[in-house]
Amino acid sequence: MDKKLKAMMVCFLRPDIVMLICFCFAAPTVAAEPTGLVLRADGEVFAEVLAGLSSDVEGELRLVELKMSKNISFRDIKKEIKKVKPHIIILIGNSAMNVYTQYQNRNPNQAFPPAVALAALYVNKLVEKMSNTTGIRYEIPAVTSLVNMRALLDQQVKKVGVVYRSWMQDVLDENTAYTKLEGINLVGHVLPNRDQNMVGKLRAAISKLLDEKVDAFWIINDNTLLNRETFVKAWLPLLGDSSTPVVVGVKSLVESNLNFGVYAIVPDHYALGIQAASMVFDIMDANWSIDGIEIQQPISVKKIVNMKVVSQKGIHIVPEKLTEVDNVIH
Amino acid sequence: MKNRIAQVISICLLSFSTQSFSTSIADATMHVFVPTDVRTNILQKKLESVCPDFSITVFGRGQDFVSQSHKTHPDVILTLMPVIEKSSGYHSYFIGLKNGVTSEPYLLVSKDREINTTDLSNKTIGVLDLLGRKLMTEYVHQLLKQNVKVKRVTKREDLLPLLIFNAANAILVSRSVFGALSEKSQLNLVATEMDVSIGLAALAANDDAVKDKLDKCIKKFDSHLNTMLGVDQWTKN
Repeated sequence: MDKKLKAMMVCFLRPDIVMLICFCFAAPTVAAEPTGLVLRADGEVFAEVLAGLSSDVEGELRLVELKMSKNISFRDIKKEIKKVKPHIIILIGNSAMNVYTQYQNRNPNQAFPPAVALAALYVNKLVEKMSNTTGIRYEIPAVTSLVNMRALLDQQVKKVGVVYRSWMQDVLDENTAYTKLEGINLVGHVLPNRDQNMVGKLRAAISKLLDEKVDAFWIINDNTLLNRETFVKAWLPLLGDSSTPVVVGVKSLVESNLNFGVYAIVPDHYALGIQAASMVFDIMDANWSIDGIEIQQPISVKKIVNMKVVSQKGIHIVPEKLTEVDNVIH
Repeated sequence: MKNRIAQVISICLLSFSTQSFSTSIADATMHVFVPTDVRTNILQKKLESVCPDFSITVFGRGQDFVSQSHKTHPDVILTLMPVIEKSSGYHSYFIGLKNGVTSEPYLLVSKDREINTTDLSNKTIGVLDLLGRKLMTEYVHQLLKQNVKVKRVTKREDLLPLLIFNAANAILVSRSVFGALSEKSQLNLVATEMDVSIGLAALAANDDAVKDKLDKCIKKFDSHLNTMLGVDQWTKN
């Protein structure tokens, strides 16, 4: 055998050289792991979203996090993007979306990496003003809340009342289309966007829906229709004593002993992070393009039921179904 | 100085003896992941009541189960057969049966019309994640014998929203889950039969030493617990 060949074989048999060769081959793989820049709002729920995201992308996407605060501006984002060179940006929370939108507006000639926005209110509307961004909506659709509540209740849920402001007409139309698929008719009562006598108008709307004998109420999270004043002067006096089940999207309205919310459906933040990871992988598989990747509805929720209110209102439930509820308040 | 050395030695001895003591009395560990609509805390309590010799952790998500089990190597795992098959070093001691068999047929469920199973290449199929992204995708491709786009969800109840929101063309579910979905939903759900079966829950261990403890505990599994685990009885492997 040729001396040179023999020498090469000896080299290959030496463990240190084998390791060095392995390292040389392995090193580019490690370096090639793509990077995601996470801009996230401060707070426990947003940290939970990130935990879910991280758990699913672990080993496939390196995440670098920048937590939002009052001191973080679009300039900091610019610096971070320059430093990290992310393949994708993940925006968690409205504050992250706002600062990133400012960054995009201040740098109109720049090419932006794809971005996924989530855990922010009205993602679908905000994304319209952004470049190369898609996302997951935060608001839980009525169909999710009502189908879950219907499974728990031992009474009919076919006609559901909802009060909304006129700017939310598209929200109502979209929700009506989904609930129709499930045999549930959303009976909407529209109010003006602004009114000096909003409490009075709200009271009239709730009373009208009660007269129409709706099977349940679905309360939309809208600060104008659901605030301290409207709650004390309209919602609670009219629905507190009613036997009509009320489904809410805020934990506090079902947790308290207000005798108001029977059932709350809230986002599962960890699962929301996992859903975002799935979207990130779709974008990765499409060579970092968001083309055809539409804004998604949130898929996973947490369910809370207040049994005190259930009993006080004389609502009938299927007791075995309580094992499927995340939090049963007794 | 001598006193200090003696102190250090005695602390070291104490810590060694405490360690060995705690190891000897430590419970065997059991990790559980079985897809069910029942919440994990309820399943955990139920299992703890019948298996007091085990320190039990019930996972609600397949990927969390896989990663934690990989890190901590529990003595026993209670999960579906495909997950056990991907967990090296475990041997199944007890296998769940339903209607006398160890696996359950799976169907493709879609909205309004049957899905054409001869060409699923451009279709998105929703599945409950048992194994994490890569392994689950491979597993589904292997089951369906086609490279479909796999949409994973973490909870069984999240499969229905995939159809409601058109996020998947079909979902892959067991016949019993299809029954439950049809009861819950008023969507026009259409099932397409597939030649696909997935193994039911089984109990597997990585050490023969826990066999007796397992034997003792499984004898206490009642019909309520078995229903939660998706089986009606157990057989020794």
